[in-house]
Amino acid sequence: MNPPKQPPINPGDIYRTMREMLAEAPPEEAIDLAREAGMDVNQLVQQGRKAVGRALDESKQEDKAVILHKGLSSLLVMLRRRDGFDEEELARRAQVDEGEIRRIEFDANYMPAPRTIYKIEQTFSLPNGVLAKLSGAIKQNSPSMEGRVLEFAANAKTIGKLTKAERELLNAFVKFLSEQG
Amino acid sequence: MKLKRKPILPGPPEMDEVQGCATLNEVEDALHKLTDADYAKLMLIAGSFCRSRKFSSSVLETGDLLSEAVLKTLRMEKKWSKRVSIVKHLDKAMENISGHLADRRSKIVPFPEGSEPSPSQTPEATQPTESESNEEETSEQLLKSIFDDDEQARSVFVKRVEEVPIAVILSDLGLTEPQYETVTRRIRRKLAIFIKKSKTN
Repeated sequence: MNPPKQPPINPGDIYRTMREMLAEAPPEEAIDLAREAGMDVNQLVQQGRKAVGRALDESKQEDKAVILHKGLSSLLVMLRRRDGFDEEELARRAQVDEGEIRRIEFDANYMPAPRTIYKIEQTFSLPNGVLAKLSGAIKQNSPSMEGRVLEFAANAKTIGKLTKAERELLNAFVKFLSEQG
Repeated sequence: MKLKRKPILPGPPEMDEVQGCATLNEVEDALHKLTDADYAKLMLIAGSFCRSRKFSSSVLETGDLLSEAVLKTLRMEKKWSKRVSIVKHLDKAMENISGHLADRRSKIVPFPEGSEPSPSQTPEATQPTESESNEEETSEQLLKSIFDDDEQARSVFVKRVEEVPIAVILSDLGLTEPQYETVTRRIRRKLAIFIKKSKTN
């Protein structure tokens, strides 16, 4: 009896097997393979290293942006509590959309427009650029920034009247931000 | 404006543990431990995707494909199951990314003759996807360009493509285990040469 006939192979299967077999190569063989194929091994490894390094850096930047946004939303809530504004009142005074205020406070992926940030800073009589430093509109390279922001966000509550300690925390954080280059 | 960031809460870590998925720290740790051999393998694999999808360097560099796969893993958009090696995981992630890119490219409607092409309708952007390119490049042509007249290497490789168990390959082709190892090493070398040749052309 003849063995069952295999279905014809397609190029996609060939490429899949090609990758599987390359991935299976023992570590000591992988470098030799590239060399024997006439590749510049150092360049190949450097390119790979650079590609992975680039992704790690980008990921760190994204983490930083998320932390800063957390600081921005916590600060906005604290400022509203200090002045007794709800979102609607703040939107009215700053002449911005109420939905935008809510998004700044709740959506970590939302990047507010520079005009909105400027208007809110004016409404709360903040030094210029204090909120912009957290919104990503002004680039921050201070190594202490993320730690301070996390510390502030961890201690910032969202409801009720500000206590004396919270007011001190808020003032210290605004001062810290205004002093950042 | 919407930023492309990873979700703040990628999912409870303890849940990831249960499902065998690596945490962000474990992913970072594994990436920092990649060896030169791993980088060489990953770049060869990335090169094979660019070759199979017929991406030219102006559409996608092999380094960019690898970088995107790593970034998606760090964002937890592509979860790494620790049952497989990080190299194998990145292979799968690159397969997925290059597949999506090829799909997107195939959906671009060619501009009518005589009209001005927009930047997204350049000939580069309307290159064939893997399936379209398969029509142009038959399996026979592909095998011929990889193995030329090395029949033994070709036979072993074809059996691997057909997912024949190694024990059966050995008995069908009358090979001992050391002989099989020698042939697979030769196959890998031919595959690396094929990828290098594709990059040069």
